Amino acid sequence: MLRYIFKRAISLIISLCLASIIIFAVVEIAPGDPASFMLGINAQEDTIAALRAELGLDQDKLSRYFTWVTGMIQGDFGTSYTYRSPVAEMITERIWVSLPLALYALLISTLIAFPAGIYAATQRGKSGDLVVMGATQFGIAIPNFWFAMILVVIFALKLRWFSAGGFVEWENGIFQSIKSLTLPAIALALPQASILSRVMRSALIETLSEDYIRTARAKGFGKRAVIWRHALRNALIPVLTIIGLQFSFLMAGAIIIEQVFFLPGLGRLVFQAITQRDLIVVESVVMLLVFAVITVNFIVDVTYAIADPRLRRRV
Amino acid sequence: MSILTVKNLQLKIGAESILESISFRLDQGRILAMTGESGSGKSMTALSIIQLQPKNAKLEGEIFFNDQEITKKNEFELCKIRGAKIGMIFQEPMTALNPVKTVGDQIRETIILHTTKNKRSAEKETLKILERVGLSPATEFKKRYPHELSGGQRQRVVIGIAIALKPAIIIADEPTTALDVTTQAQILALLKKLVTEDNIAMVLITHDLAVVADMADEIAVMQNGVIVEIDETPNLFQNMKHPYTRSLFAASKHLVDLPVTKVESDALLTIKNVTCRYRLARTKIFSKSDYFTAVSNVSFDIKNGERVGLVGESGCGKSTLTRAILGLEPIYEGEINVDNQNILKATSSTRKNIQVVFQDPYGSFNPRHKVSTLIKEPFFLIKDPLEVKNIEDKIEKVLEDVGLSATDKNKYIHEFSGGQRQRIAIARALIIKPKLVIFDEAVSALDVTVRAQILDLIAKLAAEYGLSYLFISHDLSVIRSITDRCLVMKDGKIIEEGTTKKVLEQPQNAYTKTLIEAAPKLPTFQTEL
Amino acid sequence: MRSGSLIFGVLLSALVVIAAGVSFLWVPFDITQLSIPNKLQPPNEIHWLGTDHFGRDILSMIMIGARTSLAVALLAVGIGVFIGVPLGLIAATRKNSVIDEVIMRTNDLIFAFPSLVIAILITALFGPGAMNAIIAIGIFNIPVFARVSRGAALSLWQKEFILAARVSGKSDLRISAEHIFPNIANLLIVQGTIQFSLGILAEAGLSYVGLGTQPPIPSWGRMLADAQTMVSFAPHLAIIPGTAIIITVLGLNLLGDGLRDFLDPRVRKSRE
Repeated sequence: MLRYIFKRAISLIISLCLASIIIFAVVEIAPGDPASFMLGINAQEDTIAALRAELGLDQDKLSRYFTWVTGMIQGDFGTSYTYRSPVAEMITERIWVSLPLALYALLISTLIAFPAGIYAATQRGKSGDLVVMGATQFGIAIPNFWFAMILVVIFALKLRWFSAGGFVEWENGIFQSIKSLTLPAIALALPQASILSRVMRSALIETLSEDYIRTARAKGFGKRAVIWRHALRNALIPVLTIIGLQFSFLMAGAIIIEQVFFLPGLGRLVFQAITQRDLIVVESVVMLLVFAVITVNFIVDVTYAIADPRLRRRV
Repeated sequence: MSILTVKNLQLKIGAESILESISFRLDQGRILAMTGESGSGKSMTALSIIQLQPKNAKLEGEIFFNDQEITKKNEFELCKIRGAKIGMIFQEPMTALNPVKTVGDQIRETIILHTTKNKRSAEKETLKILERVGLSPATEFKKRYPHELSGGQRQRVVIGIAIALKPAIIIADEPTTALDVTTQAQILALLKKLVTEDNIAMVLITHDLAVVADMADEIAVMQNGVIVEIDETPNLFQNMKHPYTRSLFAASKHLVDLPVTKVESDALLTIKNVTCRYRLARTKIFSKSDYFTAVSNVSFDIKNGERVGLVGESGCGKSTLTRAILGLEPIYEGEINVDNQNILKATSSTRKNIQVVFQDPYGSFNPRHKVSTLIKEPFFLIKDPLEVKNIEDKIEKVLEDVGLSATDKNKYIHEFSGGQRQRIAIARALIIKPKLVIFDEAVSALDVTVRAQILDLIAKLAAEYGLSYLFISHDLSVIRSITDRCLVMKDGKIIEEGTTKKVLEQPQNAYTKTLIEAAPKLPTFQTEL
Repeated sequence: MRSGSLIFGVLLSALVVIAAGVSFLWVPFDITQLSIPNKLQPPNEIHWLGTDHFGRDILSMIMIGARTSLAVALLAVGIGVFIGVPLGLIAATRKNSVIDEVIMRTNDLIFAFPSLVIAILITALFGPGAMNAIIAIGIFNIPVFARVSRGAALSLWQKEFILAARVSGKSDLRISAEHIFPNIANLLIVQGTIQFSLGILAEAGLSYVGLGTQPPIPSWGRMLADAQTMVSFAPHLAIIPGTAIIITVLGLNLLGDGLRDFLDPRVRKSRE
């Protein structure tokens, strides 16, 4: 078991290194010099050069890369070109919006998907199943930003239950903060819940057709007991991977939703940084998101090994 | 009073009749065998007794367990009977057990489900059961997961689950079909012991007539969902009434008429001191990998015209050896020569002399190709344009040689039965007229009547085409009927060889003796057919 | 329900494809002509789906927008298939070798990147527009097809008919082409429809934030962005493009589901 974790950890570190190289390369290859972008079309040559020196852009790519990476390991994510403030601070502020939003959306998604998927699997082929399948088909087809717009029209503009956008800081009241995250979380959760329901349903149906379920029935377990005692635990294994993937997607996928709802999260940060050619911020935030995804995958892999003893011996 | 009485059981799925007029009685302490070929309805009968037939199947008739009619009982009452009063053993022990729970857990939960015992006393009970089925020390085995046990050990666990609550009836559906011959003997002995000790009534379902003869007090022969004959064992074997029973028995005892062939003195295939090994997955990150030696210093020859058998149980290395002979497996030490050419360096002119027929009639063919495309694939090895002329005629001829018709070449493989597919496999192997054919468990997946026909076909065609062959099988009766000489393989080594007659009647090696003894035999008392 | 999926899927998808196709020959109104006096009309007899804030006919814009969405999504799938499938097949021929490890690790790495963020990054840095959108979306299709092909191919390599082909002297490459690929084609078609529908959603998202297809070419995503400020008094501006997206994605998903069942050899057998 320990060897399994060890090998996965090595994999994680290698992936992070490769990811950092790729991110750095993509951003650096892009056309357009941040300094001239910031100063505008009419800027003088030497002003641009001075700014470049100040931002450290005149150093060669290799040393800039190493400065960036070694900095990140120590927690220093560099200094924003646009705002001249530490990127680490900007990230910490925004994380308090993006992380809760992702978790909130994940919670809603799971709370809907699990009962729906289990119900559909037990009612397979009957009308209950068809209803769930039909609903999820729609859920997957709806673009989440469009759904967000509809939600705002109905619940914010017409019913006035929620505000149309903006985020209430955590210090000003937890309840208000959660309220301002609710419509965005629902918008994000809709397609995810639809996908997760289907995954839950098919994982459970697959598990229920296994031979050991037949053995359990032959032992005397009733249909319901078989689902709870035997099938669900085994069916959860593939479902867990999807939840892990969804969490990663929610952290990053909220980029558009944060625009719609004017939420000061990581997505909005990286979007603005892209438009402002604030390369350092872009690189660092993307690196952080990739780190989050890879780490979540690692956790899921380890959970797999705990749940499925067949994986423990193989390295 | 019979513990189990089945009256006029009928099972239908849609309009199709699966079982019809099934009736029998069973008393405690007796074993009733239900035998027949695939599709005869044996497994469906077993499932129907405990009311676990498929949801869309309609069941009619009566089943009396302990004088209570159980087909009309509700699910709650049936759950109390299943596992506690009627135990079930299924065929595939690997998939019958939950892979994420320990075997101890799986036995214990049956006890807790049906009794009021607490966890500790259920635990003690579990240990006793593990000992009873021969998994000792029980304290070690209860912690194991199914994938950590061998096939035979898993089946013992399944048996342990079935007998945990001392049921009155056990239904065993092909309990040993997936096991090796030696393991099969052990499991059958265990079942017999338990039946006697606990006075259990057992329904034993198996397609193997020899197993039936060994184990059963009473035999029911099934065909197409109907019991065609049912009688006490000795009566049945002495006095078979139904023609199907007779043909089944004849096929099981079938001895192929091996025509006398001329054996050349020169060797066609020479295997010299061959060792094959492969790397195991590393269990420690920084240690060197271990190797598993699948084939160890094997040497033998096959001369032109010889019909040689290779006997071995699963894991003995025969599959690796087969692939090595075909040039598909790297050889660590030693040499394999076909027609004096090293197989690993051979060109297609040498390779075209060896062909192979595989075990699985369903996996041996690309489902998207027509039969003609499938059969002519070996022509890829023929570079001489003269030989490649008239391929269509050659396809038609070989199809007729194997007992099918020329028009079959335009059909798709899923339109054929298992036996017919093996005929097509043989056609594919013979079409380029090789000198040597390897039959790798080629009849093991076939029903007994079909098996007899295919063996006859192989013997006939071998003589017509002037073939030599290497016939690999775990089934001694097949080896006996179709080979002149045989070799016995165990753990990668050839441990005995000689003429088939001598090896099977006067074995020298202890393992060979165990194999021969373990194989269930058909009784010799029967009327002339 | 099985055949229902297929029928509905074909109908809806065909509706969108036909609308896009027809738009090359004819649209009800010329959308390059702005007609401010006609602006913001709700659906009526002349403009079946109404007009937008510049007086342009929405139905015409939807039809031309269909072209954009379908083209971008289709080409992105093309990138995924033509690069991903060969990679997956090659990886399967050499399981656990160096090349397999490299391909699979690279796959996992690409999966780790947040696709939406990277797509926005690429289109913003390298210039917004349909071409870069295709590349940005297409890159993330590659690992999907590579993984699906490799997985399916690996299980086929175990089968005996592959061994038979090797006994007939065929090379791994030839076997991959003659035996493996035709047997995974069904799976790829189904996966293709899924990735196609995801591509439609991705293109809409990119256009919504201004990075996809650029004006004056209409695109559904941008129509939604334009609609946002006016949605309280002209809801049809948002509802119609949104519905167009939903119908297209729904149609493709149903088509994929229906095809999966239709092409499944087990289901096929019971039909014969």
